[in-house]
Amino acid sequence: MHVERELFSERAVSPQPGRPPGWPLPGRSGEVAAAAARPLFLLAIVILLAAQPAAAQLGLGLSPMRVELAMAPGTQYSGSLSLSSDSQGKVRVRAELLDFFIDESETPQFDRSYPQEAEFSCRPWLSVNPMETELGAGTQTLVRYTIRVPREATERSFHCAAGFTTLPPAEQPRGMGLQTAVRIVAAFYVIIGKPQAEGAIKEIKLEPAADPKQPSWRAVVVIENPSLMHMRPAGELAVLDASGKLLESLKFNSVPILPRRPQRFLFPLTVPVTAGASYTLRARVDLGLAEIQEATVEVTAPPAPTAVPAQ
Amino acid sequence: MRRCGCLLAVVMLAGASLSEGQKAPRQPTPAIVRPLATSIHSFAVSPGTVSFAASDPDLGTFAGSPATSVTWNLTGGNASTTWTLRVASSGSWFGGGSAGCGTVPAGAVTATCASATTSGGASATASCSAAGGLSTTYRTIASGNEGTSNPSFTVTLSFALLDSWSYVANLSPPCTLNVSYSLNAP
Repeated sequence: MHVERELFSERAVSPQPGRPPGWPLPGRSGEVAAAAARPLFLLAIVILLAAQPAAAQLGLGLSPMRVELAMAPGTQYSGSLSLSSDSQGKVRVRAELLDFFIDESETPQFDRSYPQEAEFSCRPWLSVNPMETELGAGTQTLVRYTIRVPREATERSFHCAAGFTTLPPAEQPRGMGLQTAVRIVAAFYVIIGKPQAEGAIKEIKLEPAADPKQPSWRAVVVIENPSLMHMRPAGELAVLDASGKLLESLKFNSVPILPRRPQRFLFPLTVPVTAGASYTLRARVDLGLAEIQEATVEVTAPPAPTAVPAQ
Repeated sequence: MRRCGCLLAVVMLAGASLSEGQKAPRQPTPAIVRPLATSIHSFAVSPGTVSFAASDPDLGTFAGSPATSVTWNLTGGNASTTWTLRVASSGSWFGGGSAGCGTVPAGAVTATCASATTSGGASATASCSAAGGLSTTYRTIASGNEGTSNPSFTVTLSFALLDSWSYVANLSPPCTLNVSYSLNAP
């Protein structure tokens, strides 16, 4: 148990990320030398599951997954999240306070700190109690959270998150293999004042999708959010051929466009795209403003993407 | 649904008490408290352990056994709001006590989404993302739309270890890597 806890907590303190404190830090040359001195192969190691009880299911539940608060500088608010266990035995759960952003593949990225998010992060204002707890099978507990907005907070929307991760119980079987943990995340949006949202479609294009197995195409719409308020788009992208025939219509994913940044939205195409052919991409999107924006571009498909050889 | 209703009640009560407290300067009330009430139930991973029987590095890749199933239900979701299932390792190398298994990198293990399905509900979607090696940075393995009317989701994963003669593994204590699954819908 102790060792496994270290594995979960060392990321913040280890001088080499991902490597537990106290572990040797060989370079590759050292490893090669070691390899030359010993019979080096990964021997059949795992009979563990056969020798021990089947590893238990791990499961958590969380409600709600998103909270939006409109607050004033110098105020605080406390609420609660409901955390439940669907594990088959007792499980320890540790909370983390997180920053997040949405990357260019529309994937939310969570970590303990993202410096680039500092001016929009509510993580320093967020506290959660308890930070670590043990849940029995099928039980549920309330996790209280408090947001304390400093007096000097300026008008804008802030975002942060609380993650809840299971810790491997001591009685889990061990072997050459993977031990499972699950993490669920609640996102917080704190709006100070009444910041005005604004945004516009910045770019629409067609590009090859980087799928090594299945070369394909995708449309990309970039929406610029120059404002201090996050927003969620709703709308669709239509793909038309040169004659104006509708080939495909795809909805925007409802990921937030966080303040002061462009956000890419990806639309994997299922219709075949012919290199050199002309297409029209038409985006209609509601950004929660007083208008529905529409933008149309004509594009010529570049040469077809080729499969990347498997490594 | 019942659980969700209870939560709403809790939030509303909290809001009500704060409204009363607004008169006191110490506890001003937020103008709006809006829980965007998507809830996740039974986000479960089974089994808790996946094993590799890597007998000969010349054979290349070894499949982990058994396959992993990740399941969950959503209530109160939005039809078009996106969920993302991601996976990461807790370290860059396999661990295994003081002797360690520090020559076996987490990246030697590839996570592949075999299937992503949804049942029940409306407008819910699920699709696999590209396979990739494990690292301490979470990578997306499946995503989709939350949908409405309480959909259920199942993602089936497989893991494979690309073996190498340079990997030194201990028999005792054995080598393990902690893998964390993360589900979010920001």
